[in-house]
Amino acid sequence: MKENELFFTFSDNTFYSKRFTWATSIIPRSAMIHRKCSNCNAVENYPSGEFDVVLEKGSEFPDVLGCGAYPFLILSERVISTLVAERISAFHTIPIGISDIRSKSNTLMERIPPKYYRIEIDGSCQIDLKASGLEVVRHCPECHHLVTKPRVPNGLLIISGSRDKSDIFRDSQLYPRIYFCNDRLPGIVNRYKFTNFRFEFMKGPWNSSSRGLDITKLFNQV
Amino acid sequence: MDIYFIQTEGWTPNNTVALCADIAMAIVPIGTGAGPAIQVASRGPKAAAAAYAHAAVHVPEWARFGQTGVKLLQSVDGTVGNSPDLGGNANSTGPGSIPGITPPSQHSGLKSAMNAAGNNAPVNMLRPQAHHNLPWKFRDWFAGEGRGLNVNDPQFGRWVEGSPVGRHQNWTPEYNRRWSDFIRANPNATRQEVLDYLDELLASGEFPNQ
Repeated sequence: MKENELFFTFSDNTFYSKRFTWATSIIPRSAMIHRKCSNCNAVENYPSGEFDVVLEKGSEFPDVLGCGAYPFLILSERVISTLVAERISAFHTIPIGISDIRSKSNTLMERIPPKYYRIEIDGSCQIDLKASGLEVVRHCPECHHLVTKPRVPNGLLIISGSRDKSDIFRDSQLYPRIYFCNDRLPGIVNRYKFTNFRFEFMKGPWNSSSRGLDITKLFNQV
Repeated sequence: MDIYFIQTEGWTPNNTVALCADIAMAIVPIGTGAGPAIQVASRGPKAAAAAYAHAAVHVPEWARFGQTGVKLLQSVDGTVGNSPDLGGNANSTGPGSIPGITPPSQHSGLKSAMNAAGNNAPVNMLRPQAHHNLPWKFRDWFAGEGRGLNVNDPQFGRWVEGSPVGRHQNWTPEYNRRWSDFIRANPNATRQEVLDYLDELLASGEFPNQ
């Protein structure tokens, strides 16, 4: 259980950093993955590869681009190249384009946007639902659609030894769109001042009323 | 809708003719919308729109049963689903699934829809703001297949007191973050699961109107 102490969950932090623009829509440029589970009726529907985004509002381009149409992880090119240089490689990238920017901000409109990539994390782990305080209400054996009580976890713990030693990882079966990392990623984000990252301790409690962990403070303490 | 008007206003000549016209058009191939046309002609476009919006939210069970009968007739000639939808057109569907809809394009559409439904800003609020209970930023996700939810549907709006008098702007980041957490944990959530979570958030009392 001790290894869980070292892990974080990460995402965009747009709701607490309003100056950053946001991807409101996605326009697929690749075949859609479209599965309707015959057992539980849940529908999976998202582009298999490349897509364009429509950006709206904000006055700056962030390094982590929040996406309202589907919870993809979208990172800027400078983050990707830094991760590769730092030998963090348990992911693959898919280039995405920007089809439209709808913002009244001249600052944003006059800037050249960074190149963005959709990230699919290859590092893996297995979440321990029970140890995470989650009661399974429904779990579809066919598509793995999961309903728990509470509906949203407030912290997650992994089954000891289930992580494949990657620096960034996820449980692609139970929570494919919740991303985890060890302390290397927040360290890099802190060092290079990458923007719009949000970190919380993986084990929780996740605090939706705050801006997330102050990683500068955290690393200064360490 | 004509059935709803009959329930609330009785068998007036206008309502009777509108219902008969709807049933007749259900039998005629590609004919539809005769009832609304008669309601618009007799009430005027603005009053008819408001009445329809109000009726859409307050259809009783027995009237829904009647509507099912009319829709059954319409399904014979394939005109079912041609009526205007607040969310736009269905994108795709399969047996038993909820089709996706085109997400709305105007943020202010919620306020207009609430007003049209007769849900006007409360007089006791100093800075009333129409709040999207299903957050605007996720409108495409809510509209997706399996959910088919229109964030500008007036049933998903409420009046809240804006800052600095009220706390709307104070709790909005957390409210949106809660939805972000929900969507990341449940990217394939069904319509019912979304509505259950919405109930949970509203019942929590953490996001008050005042």
